Amino acid sequence: MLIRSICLFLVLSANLYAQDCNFTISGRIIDNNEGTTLEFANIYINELSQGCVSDSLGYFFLDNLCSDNYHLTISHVGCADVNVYLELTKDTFLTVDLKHNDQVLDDVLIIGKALSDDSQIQHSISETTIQDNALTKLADLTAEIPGVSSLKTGYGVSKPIIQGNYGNRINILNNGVPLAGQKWGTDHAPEIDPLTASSLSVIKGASSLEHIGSNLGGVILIEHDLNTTDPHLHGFAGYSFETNGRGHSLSTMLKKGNEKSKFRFTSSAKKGGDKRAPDYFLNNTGFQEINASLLYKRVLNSRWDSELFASSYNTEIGILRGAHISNTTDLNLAFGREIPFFTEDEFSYGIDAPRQIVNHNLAKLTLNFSDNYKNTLKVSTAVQFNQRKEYDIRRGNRTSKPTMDLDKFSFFSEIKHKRIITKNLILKSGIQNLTAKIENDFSTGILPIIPNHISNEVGLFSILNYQYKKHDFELGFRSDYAYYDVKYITREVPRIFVDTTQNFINVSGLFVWNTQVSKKSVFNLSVGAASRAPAINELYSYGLHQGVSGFEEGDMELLPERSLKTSATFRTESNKFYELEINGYFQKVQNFILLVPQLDIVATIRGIFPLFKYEQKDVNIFGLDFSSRFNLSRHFTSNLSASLIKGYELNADRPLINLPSNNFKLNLEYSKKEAVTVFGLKFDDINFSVEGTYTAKQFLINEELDYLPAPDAYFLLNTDFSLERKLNKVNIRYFGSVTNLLNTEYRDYLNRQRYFAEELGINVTLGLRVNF
Amino acid sequence: MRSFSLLIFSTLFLAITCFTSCSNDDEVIVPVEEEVITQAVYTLTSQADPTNIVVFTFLDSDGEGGLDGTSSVTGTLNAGTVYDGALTFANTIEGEDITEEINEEKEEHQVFFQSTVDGMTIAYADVDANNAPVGLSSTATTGDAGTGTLTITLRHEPAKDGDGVSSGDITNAGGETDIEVVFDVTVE
Repeated sequence: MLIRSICLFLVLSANLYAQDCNFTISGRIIDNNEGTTLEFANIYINELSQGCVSDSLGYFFLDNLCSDNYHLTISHVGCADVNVYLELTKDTFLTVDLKHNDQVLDDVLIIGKALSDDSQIQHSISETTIQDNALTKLADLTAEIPGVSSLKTGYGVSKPIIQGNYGNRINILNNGVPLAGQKWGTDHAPEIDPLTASSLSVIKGASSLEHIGSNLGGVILIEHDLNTTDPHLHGFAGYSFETNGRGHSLSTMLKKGNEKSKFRFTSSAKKGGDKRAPDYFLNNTGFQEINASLLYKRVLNSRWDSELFASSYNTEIGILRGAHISNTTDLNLAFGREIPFFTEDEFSYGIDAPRQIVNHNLAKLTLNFSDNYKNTLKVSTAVQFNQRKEYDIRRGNRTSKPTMDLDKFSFFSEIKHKRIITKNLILKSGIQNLTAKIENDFSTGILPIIPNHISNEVGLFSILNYQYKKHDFELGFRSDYAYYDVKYITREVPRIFVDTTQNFINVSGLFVWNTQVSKKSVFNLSVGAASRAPAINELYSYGLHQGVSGFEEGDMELLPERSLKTSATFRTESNKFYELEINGYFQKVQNFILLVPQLDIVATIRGIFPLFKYEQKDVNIFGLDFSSRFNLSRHFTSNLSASLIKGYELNADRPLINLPSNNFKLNLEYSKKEAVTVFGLKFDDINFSVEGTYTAKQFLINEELDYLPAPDAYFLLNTDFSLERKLNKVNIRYFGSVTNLLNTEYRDYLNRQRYFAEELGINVTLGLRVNF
Repeated sequence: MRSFSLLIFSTLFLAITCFTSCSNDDEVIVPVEEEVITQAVYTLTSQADPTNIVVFTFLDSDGEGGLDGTSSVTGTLNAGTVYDGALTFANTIEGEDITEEINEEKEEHQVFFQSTVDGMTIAYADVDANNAPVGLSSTATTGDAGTGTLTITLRHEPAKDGDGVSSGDITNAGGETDIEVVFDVTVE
């Protein structure tokens, strides 16, 4: 016997009795991943501003509805909202699958799931979280996932570190296209605006063989989802303001579609000025950004459909003036100071040298073929154009002339085939090509740090997925051929160009075993072997590099890195009370390439110079990521997470540099998805959370390889809130946060500018978003 | 199917344009290193005896990186003598005199002299438009005989109004070091 909850209408719409108004919408709310039904889910008809709640078996029932077109929003604590468009002409039964999030850490929604055609575990950040943190950079957003950190150069430039790997080792895919930007250098952030994405996902596991580019250090997927069949224009427009740096952000998303064609368009504009440490301004740390993306899908016939995707990222970033140094004397002077050189009392939006101007444009065309779901074929081609200009303080009125002016044009193509051989055997295979041409503008008056070159990579992969009872196996193989044609300038005078070519063959393999230990527990084991050809900067760079405040020297003799990574994950949950995930990993890398500060003194006319050389070491990296969620009561939840990591060089028996310190996070969250009245205003969804993070001191530091000891441990208190009002046709979301609530003075080991200045002080963010 | 042909066509087109434009054979000229200073020369001429000239030279012929630079001294520094000092900079790779460039931007530059030789002092003999010292011209006075080192530093964008900076104290100067060379000094 089903107990159905009959919903009471909160507001009666005017036309309720004017026409044929005897229809019903009923249905069931399920969580397909878990195979459970969901009670207390809210079903809301936007047009009528009315709704109901699902019963203990997940059923709901709405009656006395008129024949009309309706937009329904289905929401549940810990789930991403689902929108349904319905043309009601008869009594309708709906089955709604809500994606249940395994953890909600901080304000970041992390959807942990094993993908149907990818056995590796993936952690995602939702569009709501991305939009609520509109002024946060990509790396700092992904850093909310345990095991992911952010390597920074100051406050406007950050790049993700996944379980100890960053830069050239990480593959970032924007809607399936490997981002062909300037991955090298700690001061080069990924050329992507998170606001264009519908979600961000990270694969931390052993190696992902489906993608060209490095596959030994983890993958970040920038996803652009477009599953609308709603013929009305929907989307949102949002604005946020943050006090630290007086930053503004405007962002919009529009989407519309039908069975034949659909599109999603996003745009954003951001601007901020000088940030502030607890006691002083960080001069010249402003930035501005203008970005847009468009995704258009069209069904050609019953078997073919096509997709067009374009995105544009444009930014200008100021680098802290007081962090600009040229020799070790300057560096030592900067260390000794309470307040950095060039600190002013006035706030400014101005951006002067040192600064960067970066543009990245991408266009992609995809054609999908599907033959009764037995065979699917995907053909994609993409072009990318990346421009990077860096400006330094220079003599002789040259400050307005870039010190580095690099253009990168790249062309990507791939053919992927997926065949469902039997019900439990899937074979995926593909071929990919990535060609890039990098060109310097030689009128900078400075020897280019990266030589002009062409690189060409061709890769083949094959992955077999086999399901047997409660086990899921994946076996993959990948081979890549990389070819470089480099035109470098000799290091000796007289300087001349030398043309040279190099080629590498990389082979990778992967084994994944996924098993359902019990009804509520899953175990995942992945073992991956991968190799990576040294990148051009590791082989050929020669020159002054602002990002490391020193002279960077590549080594043409470097060999490919070879990695073997084992990663094991156990995930379990009890009946609604707790969920937890624990992931342990061990990665052994032969010929691990790292930029090592040199001990021997280099005498130049500028005095003693910080010199960094690319060297190879055999290293071990291992660690543990833990995350958990406790449902304390219907409205209170608590999350606890921790990341522990350790790495060392095998032969020298000394710790590896630039590894994140151990960190811990605890939060307490109150959320209510029902009508609540706050300050006399009615809200339909409220959320409030307080979070404490503790970052330990990096004791594993190679003192002889660093200029200063690692900074002390620090504790930060953050809080955030969101309130949603559902009005007729629109939904208004008010959100905000306070980071570093206690205005703690601290420095972070992974910020290159810790030598010069403190991290940011208190920051209050307030925002408003209208969903329609 | 029209879209499909379009896709194939554009793929081929892009591939062709890429591969043709990607040929690396364009004639390019090695960039001019405009800002490099490879040589610093500090010439001291005795006010009393113009034939007593001491020249301190630092030369790093291939610029930063690569080979180490070398310093050399010619001539004899006499005790208890006043010398006129002249500092010049050059980019020997491009055959360019940099002194003029520094002189044109003297508001943004200052030279600092630090001597460890007992009794040896170096005073500024030139000023910029704001009446602040520059250091391209200087006056060196030796005391008793002795040995030590002389460090000459050229800073770009120092805080010329910083505490003690105008009298030659580098401590609060800040800015970026364009030149920092050390010479062995013997006063006889």
